[in-house]
Amino acid sequence: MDAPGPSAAEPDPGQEGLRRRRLRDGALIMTLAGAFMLLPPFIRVFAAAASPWGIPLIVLYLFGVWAALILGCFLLARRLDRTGDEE
Amino acid sequence: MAANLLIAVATGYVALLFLVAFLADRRAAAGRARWLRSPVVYTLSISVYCTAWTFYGAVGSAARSGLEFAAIYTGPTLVFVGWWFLLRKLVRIGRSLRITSVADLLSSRYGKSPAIAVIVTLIAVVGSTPYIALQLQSLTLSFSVLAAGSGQEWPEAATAFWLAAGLALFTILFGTRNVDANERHHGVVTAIALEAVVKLLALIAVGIFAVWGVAGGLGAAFARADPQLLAQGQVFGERWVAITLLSASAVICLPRMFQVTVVENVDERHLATAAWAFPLYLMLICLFVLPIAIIGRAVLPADANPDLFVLTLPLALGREELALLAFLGGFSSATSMVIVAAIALSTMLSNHIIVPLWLAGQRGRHAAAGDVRAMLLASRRAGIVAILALGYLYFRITGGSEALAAIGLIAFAGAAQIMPALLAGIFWRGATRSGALAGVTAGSLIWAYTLFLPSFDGSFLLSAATLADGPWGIAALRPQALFGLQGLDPLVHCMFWSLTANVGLLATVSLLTGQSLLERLQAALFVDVFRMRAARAEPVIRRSATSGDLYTLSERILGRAAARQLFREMAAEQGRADALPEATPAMIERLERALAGAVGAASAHAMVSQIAGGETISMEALISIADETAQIVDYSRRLESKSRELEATAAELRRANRQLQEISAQKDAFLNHVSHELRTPMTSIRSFAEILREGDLTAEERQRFVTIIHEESQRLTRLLDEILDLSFLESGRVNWQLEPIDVEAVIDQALAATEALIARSGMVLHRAPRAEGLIAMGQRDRLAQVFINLVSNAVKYAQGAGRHIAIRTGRTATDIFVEVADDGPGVPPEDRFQIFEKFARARGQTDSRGAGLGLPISREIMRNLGGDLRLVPTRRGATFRVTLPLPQRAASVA
Amino acid sequence: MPRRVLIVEDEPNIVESLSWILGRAGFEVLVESDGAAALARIAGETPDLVILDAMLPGRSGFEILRDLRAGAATARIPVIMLTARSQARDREMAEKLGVDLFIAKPFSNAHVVETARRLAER
Repeated sequence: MDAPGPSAAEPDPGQEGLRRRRLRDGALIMTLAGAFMLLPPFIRVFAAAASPWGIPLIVLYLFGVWAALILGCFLLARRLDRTGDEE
Repeated sequence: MAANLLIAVATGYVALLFLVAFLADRRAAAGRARWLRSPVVYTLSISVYCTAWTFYGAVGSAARSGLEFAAIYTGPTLVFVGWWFLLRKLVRIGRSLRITSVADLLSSRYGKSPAIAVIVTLIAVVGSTPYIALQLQSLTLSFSVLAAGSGQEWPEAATAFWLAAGLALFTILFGTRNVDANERHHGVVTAIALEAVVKLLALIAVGIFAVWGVAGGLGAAFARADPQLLAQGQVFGERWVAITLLSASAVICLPRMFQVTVVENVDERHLATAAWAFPLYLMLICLFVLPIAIIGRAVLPADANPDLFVLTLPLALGREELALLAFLGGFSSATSMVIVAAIALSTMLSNHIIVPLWLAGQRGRHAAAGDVRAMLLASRRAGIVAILALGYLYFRITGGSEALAAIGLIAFAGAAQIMPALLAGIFWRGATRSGALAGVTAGSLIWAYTLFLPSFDGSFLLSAATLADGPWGIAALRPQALFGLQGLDPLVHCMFWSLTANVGLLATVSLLTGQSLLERLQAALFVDVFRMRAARAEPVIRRSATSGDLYTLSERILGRAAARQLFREMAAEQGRADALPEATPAMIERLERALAGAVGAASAHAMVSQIAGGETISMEALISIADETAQIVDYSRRLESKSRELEATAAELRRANRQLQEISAQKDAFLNHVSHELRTPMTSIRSFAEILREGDLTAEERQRFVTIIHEESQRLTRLLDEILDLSFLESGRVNWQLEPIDVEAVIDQALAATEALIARSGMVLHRAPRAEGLIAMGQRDRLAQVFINLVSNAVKYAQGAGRHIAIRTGRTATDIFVEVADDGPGVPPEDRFQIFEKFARARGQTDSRGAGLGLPISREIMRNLGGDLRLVPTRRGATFRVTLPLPQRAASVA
Repeated sequence: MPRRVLIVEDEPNIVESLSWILGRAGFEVLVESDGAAALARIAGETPDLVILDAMLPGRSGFEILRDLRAGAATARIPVIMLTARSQARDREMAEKLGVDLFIAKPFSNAHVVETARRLAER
């Protein structure tokens, strides 16, 4: 019989499904966390008078969250894109 | 700056755009457009989101309200970061169903409804016209500002007119080359991508100049801020939330955004890049907005318009070349918006308003007669001209005095009315056409009443008095304080009421109304777009048409070359090279989808339906498609239950097999018994026959032997009768007509038959007093047979040892019973369980008169009569008890 | 001296026919109808031949045959077994237990007489 089993290079389908699921959950949580951080009341925490390095804290915070979201999305998007179709 | 130089630069830039668009179109046509189809170009084209409103207006907003402007860009950022859940689905739907616009999307989803398409188109046009006017205004303003130094009077109206005309020309040239609206406009997209780069570079250049050239560093720049501007707390209130929400829905619902994100998408995978690259672009655009605003306010005179800081800051500081770059950036922002909006809106106008009107005019004539393609292209071009003309007129009439940002947000709020129906359409199967219509209509009316019309400050439709006191003085209906809801920002107020009505009606009406079959089909196609199998075996809509008619229609809409190409492909797929494809339901469905790419789903459906008759929606196919999702979930469950079922079946089979083996063993034993019982009399018969044949016998001997042979023959016959009788009784085919019988009379009959036997045995019969009215449903002869058998058995087995036979009758609550008892040796305990088995003669009994079938037959008879026969445990002798149900019980049993 | 044959059979008509033909053939015929009593009877009478029915009340012919072969005095007595059952298994079992002849009912008188003579002469 020449029915070869799954080759070693091929990832285990169960593991693969789990990985895919975690990626999607990660993307969802990142989006929700982004909304949470960019909306009141949480964002008001950073609307303080402080100005580290002469730049208002709120400006640093806003662009910091923004950049973090972009970076997170960059890291996730390429992997998500390879996971295929299903929702 | 010299006006001539300005005109020369602008014209040169426009020429460059024309050239780029022309080259890109040519390369794409030649099939060498690899880099044109890159995710970077896609991302840059999406940046058409940033219009002149962003380029000039963001700084203006920042100068007035600090960070508030950022919400307009964080909303879309969140939408793109969450691309996997919404945008990806939209793009997939748009591509698979060849959606041509956001109006087409909703129309297609809600049963290819023309009404929804018309309403969405109207909202889009109404919302976009001021927005386009705003672009024209910012363009003319920027011209005036730059030329102001030269001392020449700048003709604003003429500038706006020629700009509008030029943009219309560009859009017509590159936006209506092909009738298929779903086909990509490579030229336009490439030119817009170039403009995206220019506007980003320009804004960053001005920002760097402001921060490092003027202020001397970021810290220094922020140090010059008005402390009032950076007292940020109150920015993050209701308005911030409302703007985030608005911008998030605008980046999807605005006609131009839908156009570049969904319609112009060439590869779904590009979304994975745009998901982070577009937010990055937005962040870069926003990076220097606040510093420019701060420096502008610090450096420029107090009466300077903050909306023009990007231009006036470098100009005031003598950096004309930088001002020129900023001017080009603003020019790019404005023109790219106008071009894409014009394409998107003209497609919507022509597909959803002009074509249906034209189709209505065609009614009665031969279906889809005339050159649809030419009509389509003409209507698109007319649409573009009309939209730019509207924008120009709006600009001229309003005079352009408002702050730019207000108009942008008003347009956003209008577009947001589409969002609930869109979201429900792709995530909720139950959303109905009526629900969507009600929601969108109500939301838009409230939007117009509470935000759009009041923006004219009482100069259009709503008077200043109405604004202040409500219509007819009804305070509860004041446009900006509806039902007394005061103290809210007008934008928040509008969003609250319009979206509440919109979502509320969408949900309620959807729950109250039903869906047509077509709607259900479309709902399934939308909501489960990722779960649909690529090729369904069975098309859902069944109709018939001739290939010839279909070809004519396609040729008229798509043009000869495209139609021929399409039909050749379809024929090849059907394996019919060199012929017209067969007009199967599947082929018609595919054709309709191709036509939808040109004229929209509703019009395509109407046109094809005119030709294709006998349209029915196959319920089965629809159910199968609608249940496809459920099916997949179901499938695994079914597999599970199948395997459980299989196990159960296997167990059942094993049990059945065991039973069969038992039955087979019983049958063997039975045959063995029968054989034995037959051979025994036959042995005597044969043996005595041989003796008789030899002769040499006395007459006495001969007489005796012949008698034995005769008896044994009778025994054989009786045995065969009994076997046949038993097999009949056991077969379940017994169908006796039951009649009411008097049990005592039957006993009389049985005793008459056995009288001689009892007398011969010397035993005494005791009969209890007759019970009156012992009437049971039964068969007289069969019941008599049972009694005869029991009495004979008593005689046979008790003879010698006992002397009495007793018969007693009676009734219980449910039964009539008859007992036959003897005082013989009784049935040994070890035999009690098997005396009713076939051939189980009592041990030690040698009986040549019965084969041991009497009791089994009697019991079968009783059971067939609904009663039973049992051995009653007694201390002496044997007592058999016959029971029969009382008549009323028998009736209920039967 | 006439050969003695013991018929162990419970069907009276068959006993009668066997007695008649064997008596006519010169045998002294003894009859036993109860399986339980048969073994003692055989041991006591030591007949020259036993004709044994397979299905007897009290005790089966096979059991009697087995005990017969086990007893020193009776082991060599020839036995003809009669049976109305048709299963091949019965024949095999009887032969294994050391029956001299196995005859299915109904039998031929001549065959029974002839084999009885042959076996009784040994």
